[in-house]
Amino acid sequence: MGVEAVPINPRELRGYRFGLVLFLFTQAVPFVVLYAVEYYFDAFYISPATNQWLGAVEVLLMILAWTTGRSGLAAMRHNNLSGLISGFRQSLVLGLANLVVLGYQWGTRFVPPGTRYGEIFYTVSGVTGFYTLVGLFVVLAISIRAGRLRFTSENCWDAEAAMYFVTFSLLTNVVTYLFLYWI
Amino acid sequence: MAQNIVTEATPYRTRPTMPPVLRGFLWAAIGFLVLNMATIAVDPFRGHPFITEISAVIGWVGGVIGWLLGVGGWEGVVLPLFGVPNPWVAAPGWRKYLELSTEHKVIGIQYLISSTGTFGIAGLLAMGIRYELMQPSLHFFTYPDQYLTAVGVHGTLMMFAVGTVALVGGLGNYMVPLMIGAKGTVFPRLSGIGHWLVPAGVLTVIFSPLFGYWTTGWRGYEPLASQDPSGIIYYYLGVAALTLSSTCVAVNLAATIVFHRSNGVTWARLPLFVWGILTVSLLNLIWLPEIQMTFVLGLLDRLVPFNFFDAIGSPLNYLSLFWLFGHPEVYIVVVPALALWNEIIPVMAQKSLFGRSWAVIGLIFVMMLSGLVWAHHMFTNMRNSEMFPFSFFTEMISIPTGFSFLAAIGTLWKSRYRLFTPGLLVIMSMFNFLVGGLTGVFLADPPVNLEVHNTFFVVAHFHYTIIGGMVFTWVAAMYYWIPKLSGRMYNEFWGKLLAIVIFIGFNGAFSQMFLLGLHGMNRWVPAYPPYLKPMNYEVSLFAFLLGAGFIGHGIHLWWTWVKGPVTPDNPWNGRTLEWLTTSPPPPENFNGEVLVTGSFYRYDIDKPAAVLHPPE
Repeated sequence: MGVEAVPINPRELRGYRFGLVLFLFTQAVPFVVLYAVEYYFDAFYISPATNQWLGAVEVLLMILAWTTGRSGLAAMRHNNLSGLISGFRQSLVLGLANLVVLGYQWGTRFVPPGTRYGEIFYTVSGVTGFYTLVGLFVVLAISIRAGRLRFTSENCWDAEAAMYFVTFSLLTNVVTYLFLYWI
Repeated sequence: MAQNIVTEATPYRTRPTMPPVLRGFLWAAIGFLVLNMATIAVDPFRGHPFITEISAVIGWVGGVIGWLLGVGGWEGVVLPLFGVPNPWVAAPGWRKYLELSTEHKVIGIQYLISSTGTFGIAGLLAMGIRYELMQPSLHFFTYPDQYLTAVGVHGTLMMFAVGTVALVGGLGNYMVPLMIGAKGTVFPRLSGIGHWLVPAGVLTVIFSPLFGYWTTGWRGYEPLASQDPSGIIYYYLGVAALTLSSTCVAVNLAATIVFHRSNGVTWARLPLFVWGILTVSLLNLIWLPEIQMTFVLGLLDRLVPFNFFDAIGSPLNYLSLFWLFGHPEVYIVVVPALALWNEIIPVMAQKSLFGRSWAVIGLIFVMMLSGLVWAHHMFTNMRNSEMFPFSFFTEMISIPTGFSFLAAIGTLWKSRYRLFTPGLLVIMSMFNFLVGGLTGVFLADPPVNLEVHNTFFVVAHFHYTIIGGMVFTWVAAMYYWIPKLSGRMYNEFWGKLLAIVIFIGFNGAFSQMFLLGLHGMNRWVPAYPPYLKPMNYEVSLFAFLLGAGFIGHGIHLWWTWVKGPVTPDNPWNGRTLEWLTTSPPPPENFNGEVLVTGSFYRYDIDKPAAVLHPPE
């Protein structure tokens, strides 16, 4: 491809890590707003129409997506590029499955949208799904980039960054699940 | 993501076949049409017009993505993200300002150009507003909603595309790396793509009235917003683009300040302006995502429709969420200005900065307290017992704000202050902000607040802080740094004359607004009782003078950039690092390695604060 990876010095790497974590912290703020609005309108009410099992399946799929992504990153640390790509692609499929289950929940309208709880349910789960989608796009992009640039164990910051996104998606899925289905 | 880790092994890089901005417009149009039509195609309810509220939103997303890709995002961001090298080479000359750039100085100037242009548009709207108010009844605008929309677009552009952008995105991007001795920023693409969200956001807000007049002002107040025509949707979207731009800059500059300081630039030596940008970046990172999500909820109220904030939801909840962001926003605008006073005054006085630590502590405490005062905007909706803490914290925030005055006045004390244009404008700004701040203390007291709520007293107060404080300091900083940006010096006579013109115009206009407010002149109305006409007439004349003065400054600075006399690298004898390099700085900022050995603000010692070791 006429391209080659250039090693990143440790100081630059710390800057990248700090900047990305800072960015992800800021992206927690919208969720705080959503949970606050949920509390304001619904307090601790949970609609009996919710399907907690499907919510749990979504979270489980996201946990599996995170685990496979993480194992891909661990493989990269041992210079196993194909392990990284394979782990990320599996993570992508599992993440998409998470969105399919969310789509099924939306499509079947288990929760009536015209209620206070419904408004909150579709908004919070929709925003969570959007962030999951962004995380999956990053995973897809980095799995392609890794193959083109021939990542090495010393030079795989991009894969680490993608996992930061996936971790953030996992956390939002878990907290959203707790707020929508339990608290 | 997509940090700069790819290089090119084969030299096949080219220039774009179409000017990037032109391609941006073309791709934006295509993006809008494609997503708009896709939305219409899946719409289960047939018979809707070609553009609906939902398709306009989704089409707008396509338009903005097309715009960002068109101006260089495709080659500069998307291709590298997927491991393909950027096929473009940076354009030479002025063309580099018209495409995506990763050079922080180019990005800084792009931000300055965008915010200056927006300031001109918002200023023209202000002239229209003042022309309308020269008569007690409608004579310029046809309908009251047109007037209210003009006020809303003016306020939105000024807050989100000028106040938040000029000092942080503009001067911050340009100066911060220079002032810390860095050769670049941590996430150059992030700031680069961030800039191009500004024109997208500004155009969205400017053209929003085409979808119907919106009457909420820059605050998007509910339940008005849920009753307004569709134009309010593009207010939400425009602000989303503008705030996303500022978020990008905040992440980049915060990481750069923490990790790219050169040897010897310790936290104790960090320049005041850099402290200001760091504190503001943290404020941006907390509060901009907050208002973005609030606006998403507002959008859902319109599109689905949900009922979060409309009349059967909770408008008061919206007000709280808005002002939680809204009041820190005021400090996002003003804190860099407070920092700049104490950046410029020691240089103009050639005297050590008084109480440097207190000046820094003041900025940090302003940042921390700014999130505790929001409900003073809502005293009319509250019980007395609820007002007290917000009244208390609002008055308390004047104390750390006063630290900036303390440092500035202590430095000026018994100094031989050089009253060049930047120094003059800083003094003017301090005077203006003092008036704005003192009247803010009045407004923090519930009895006064309830009396003058929604009158021109409030309009005068916040214009004294934003225009009188921030914009005057922005102009001062432009005169201070134009020799660094261009290598040329402005004309002192014209600089001072124009400074005096805007000072007279500003104070003539806005000081009388306090009186207008006390006499019963309400905000948000294009018509008023005839007894208020004489003073309104005078205010408008001074406002036109102010507008002419700002245009004069713009022309003068442009002339300086193009034809001003060449100046030495350090015409002010400043000690901060930007004066250590050539004017304008080279692409790598410094021709060598910077080593800082002393304070930037000590003028009682002859030894320079830093040395530049030539490259080996």
